[in-house]
Amino acid sequence: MRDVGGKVDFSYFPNSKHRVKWGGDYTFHTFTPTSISAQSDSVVFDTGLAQKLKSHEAAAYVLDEFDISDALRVNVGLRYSAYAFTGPFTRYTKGDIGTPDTTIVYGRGDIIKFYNGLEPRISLRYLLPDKSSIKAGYAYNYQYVHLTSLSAVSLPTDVWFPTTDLAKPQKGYQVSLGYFRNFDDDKWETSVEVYYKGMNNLIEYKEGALPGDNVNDNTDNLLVYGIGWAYGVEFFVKRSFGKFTGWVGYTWAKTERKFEDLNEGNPFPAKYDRRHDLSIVATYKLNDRWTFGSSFIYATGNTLTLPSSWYVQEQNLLFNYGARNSTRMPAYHRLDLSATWYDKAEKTMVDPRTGTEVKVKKRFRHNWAFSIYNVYNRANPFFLYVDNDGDFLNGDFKISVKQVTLFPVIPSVTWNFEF
Amino acid sequence: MKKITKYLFFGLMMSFIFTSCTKEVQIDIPGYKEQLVVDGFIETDLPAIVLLSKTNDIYAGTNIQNYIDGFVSGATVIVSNGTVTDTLLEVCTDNLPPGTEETVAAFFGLPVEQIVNLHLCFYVSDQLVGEVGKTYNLTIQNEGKTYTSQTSILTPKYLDSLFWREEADVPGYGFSWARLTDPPGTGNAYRWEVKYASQVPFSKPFGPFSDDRFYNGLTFEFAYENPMSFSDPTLTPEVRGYYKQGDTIVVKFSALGQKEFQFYDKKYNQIYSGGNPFATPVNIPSNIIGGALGIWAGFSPTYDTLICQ
Repeated sequence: MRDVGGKVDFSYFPNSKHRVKWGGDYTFHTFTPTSISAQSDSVVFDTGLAQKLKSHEAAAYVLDEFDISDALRVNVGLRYSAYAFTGPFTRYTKGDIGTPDTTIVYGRGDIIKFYNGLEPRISLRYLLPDKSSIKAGYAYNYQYVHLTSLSAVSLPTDVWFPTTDLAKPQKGYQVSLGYFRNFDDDKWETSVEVYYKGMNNLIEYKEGALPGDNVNDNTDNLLVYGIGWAYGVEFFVKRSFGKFTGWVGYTWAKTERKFEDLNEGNPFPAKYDRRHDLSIVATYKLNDRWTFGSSFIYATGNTLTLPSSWYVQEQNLLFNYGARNSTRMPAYHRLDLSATWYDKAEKTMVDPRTGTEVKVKKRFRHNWAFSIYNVYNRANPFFLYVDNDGDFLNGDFKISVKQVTLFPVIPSVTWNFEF
Repeated sequence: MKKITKYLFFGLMMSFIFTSCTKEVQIDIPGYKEQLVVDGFIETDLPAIVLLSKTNDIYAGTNIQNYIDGFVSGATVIVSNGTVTDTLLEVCTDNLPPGTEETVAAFFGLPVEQIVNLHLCFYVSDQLVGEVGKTYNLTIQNEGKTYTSQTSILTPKYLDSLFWREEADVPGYGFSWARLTDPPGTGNAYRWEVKYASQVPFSKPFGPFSDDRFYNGLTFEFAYENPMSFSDPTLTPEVRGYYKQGDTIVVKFSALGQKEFQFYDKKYNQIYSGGNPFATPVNIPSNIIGGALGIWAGFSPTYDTLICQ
């Protein structure tokens, strides 16, 4: 994937109540989903052309943040986006078995498909008399570049894919509502926010699709299309003052997808569906020289599809995969600790004019940071896969689920300096 | 830019290799449901043969006893070619017709002396045999459920030629080579099997199934290794995979339909990627309607005898 583009933004403040921004951007996308070649002796096999997908994406926007009253602030905006999928491109249409495929060849610069749309957004903030506020928002978006992953691949492999004449732009809307309140002279900030997001024109690979299946074919002929939704609630508490500062964030969320051609048409959890997500960050400033920090994160494991059964055909042991994304990886959690030593910010010098000692700020500052990543050496899953070993008919065949973990406990020392 | 990408990828892979660790875990894999597995086929001039078995939970032991216990008997299996409808006979290995023991043992992958003492049942037609150009409907009734499928025996495709070519660095040994002209029109699919002339069962080499997505309409030569050599303890590793000069082999080259090919293609893809975390595991598409797994396949074989010289 290669992008070339630019953007420009302007701001205008007509009076103290309005803050207007506008601008635009343009990107030229080039995607190369696959490139395959093969030959046997002098015979070169026909693997089709290396498919490069080219497209132009442009947008213009304007938004105004203005205060209707002292209590009510509104941010309203409108974005217009346009997208053109262009040649050179060869569209393959698979014929029935025994009949040749048909192709449509588009020349350089030919506009194969044009999409455009308006993306409105509005957010409100209403201040309540008791140092609290309510925020609400709505946004509608087009997304012309999709992210998908191979259906059941073990390794986390995500693929970027552009909108084409078949793969329509992803459309989504999000509504949110939040309550924010500060306590104890703003030493504590708290908030709770709920959201719902709806998505259309999501893409996934067909059940059983393999990377090599798009030989003499278009990648988007291997895709299926569906809808998705996500909702959740976020809690946040932050302490900003004093020696002991930090924040706690917790999100409960659910993200699901529904495709007519996948999982027998039943909804299934998204790969990154994460029911619980907790972050705790704490910092203790002992004095000007020493600061200690810690962070802890906990997240429900990603979903994946693993075989739920095995069977035998022609003496070969085969796997049958269960419902899509029905297996949950073990949870991810990790504690990191750090201690940072700072040199003195000032040094004492004798003022040559007065002969008295004065303190001046150092031009060269440095600090040492000692940290331990993954303190309790948690073996967090990066991905899981089913391993098998042995000869089935000899009776020593074994199936096991293996977990690959990336980073164990890692102590580190860092020297930072500034001048 | 490409160089940077390569170095970046190389760096990531090296850090992945040197910092990752792998361990066995026990996690809940939901969704197991017992399903019927169909392993049925019909070939030109041969009766239809159907083996039925059941799926096992992923954590069920993959031992030989589970394999033996998995076969299904007592089902009603019917094959029809439109004019003849044949309810297949159930034949069990402890009551085999004389002279069939070795062939049946090869179906199950078990020794003759073991199989005749087991009660493994399969279904075989006695009213019809496979004919080129005919379509065969399969109906299975088992435990109150009905499963159906359809397959055809296509027009056979003959190899242009078959020959043996000596490998320069292994004197006296070489692969079997063939020349094939694939007909125009996509979707032609083939199976390659081979045996020594003196043997009964055919063996499959690595990648025995292919279709013409890469070579549609082309004339080309290709080679296959000797799959029998890998289980021959008398051979040294250097000559495994080759045919010896003077060997006489029979090549069975079969045409099959695209739906059937999709099953075998994905099946071998799964087998060859077994245990490889970088592979793409996929479900194997079945052509059985009604919720069963497996395949009902028609094959149209041609036979060629090759003296390796």
